[in-house]
Amino acid sequence: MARSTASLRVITDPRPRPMLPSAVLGMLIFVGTEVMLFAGLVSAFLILRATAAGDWPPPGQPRLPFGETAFNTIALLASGFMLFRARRAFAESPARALRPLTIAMALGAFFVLFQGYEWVMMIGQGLTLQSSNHGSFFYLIVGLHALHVVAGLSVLSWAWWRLRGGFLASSYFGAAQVFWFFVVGLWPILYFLVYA
Amino acid sequence: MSRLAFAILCLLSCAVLLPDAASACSVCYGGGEESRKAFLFTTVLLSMLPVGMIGTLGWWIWRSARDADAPREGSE
Repeated sequence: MARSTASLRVITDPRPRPMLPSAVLGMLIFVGTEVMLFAGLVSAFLILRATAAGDWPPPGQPRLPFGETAFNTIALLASGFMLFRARRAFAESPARALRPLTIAMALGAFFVLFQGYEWVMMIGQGLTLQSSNHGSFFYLIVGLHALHVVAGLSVLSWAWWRLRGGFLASSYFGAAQVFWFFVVGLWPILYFLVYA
Repeated sequence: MSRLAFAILCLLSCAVLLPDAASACSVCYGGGEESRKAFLFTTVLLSMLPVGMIGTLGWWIWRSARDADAPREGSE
């Protein structure tokens, strides 16, 4: 009898929580591959710019809107900050995370829309995919990042929908945050490398 | 010294003394200083980035495991 009670104690002991939820670990591995993808593109861009004869951007090509994009960069960084606040609010009470999460998504959507407007302006000034290496790399790197922002917004929308229904698991929310923080953290690097 | 050893010595000497002339990389189309720096920087970046990411993740998991074990050891 005593032995069975002892074994019961062992069974009912709380299991240690996983160090890292599987959803977050999976997303971290995925983000690692994405980091290498962007590192490859940035490396190619840096070598092309270093080996280009003459000035950069090439003569006849418009300069990228550094100042206007700085405003957009601030919007995306603010979006990351709001998601950080949503994360803290979620830890206290999940319902309180809804508002900062909504603001984070709105700022992310503003970033994408502003960038679309910027692209229309740049195409109007003659910067296209075929106009030069400058244009090719600009649309490739910045466009790929914009696609990631759209994907991140989709993930956040899914999290928002589940949070509103009251059935968002913290591990899934953590995975969504990892992806969005990657998208937000990557942008300033691309901004200073490509736009400067 | 045999002829073969002498030939190898000459080749090695050329490789050491004339590194610019010995560069035969098919993608090193620009021989300028900026180009060399860019190749060096991107080589270091692409080599160290995966190691850094895996190392950071491993270190973070190790630290979390250590912190998680600390109170349990104290309570026993």
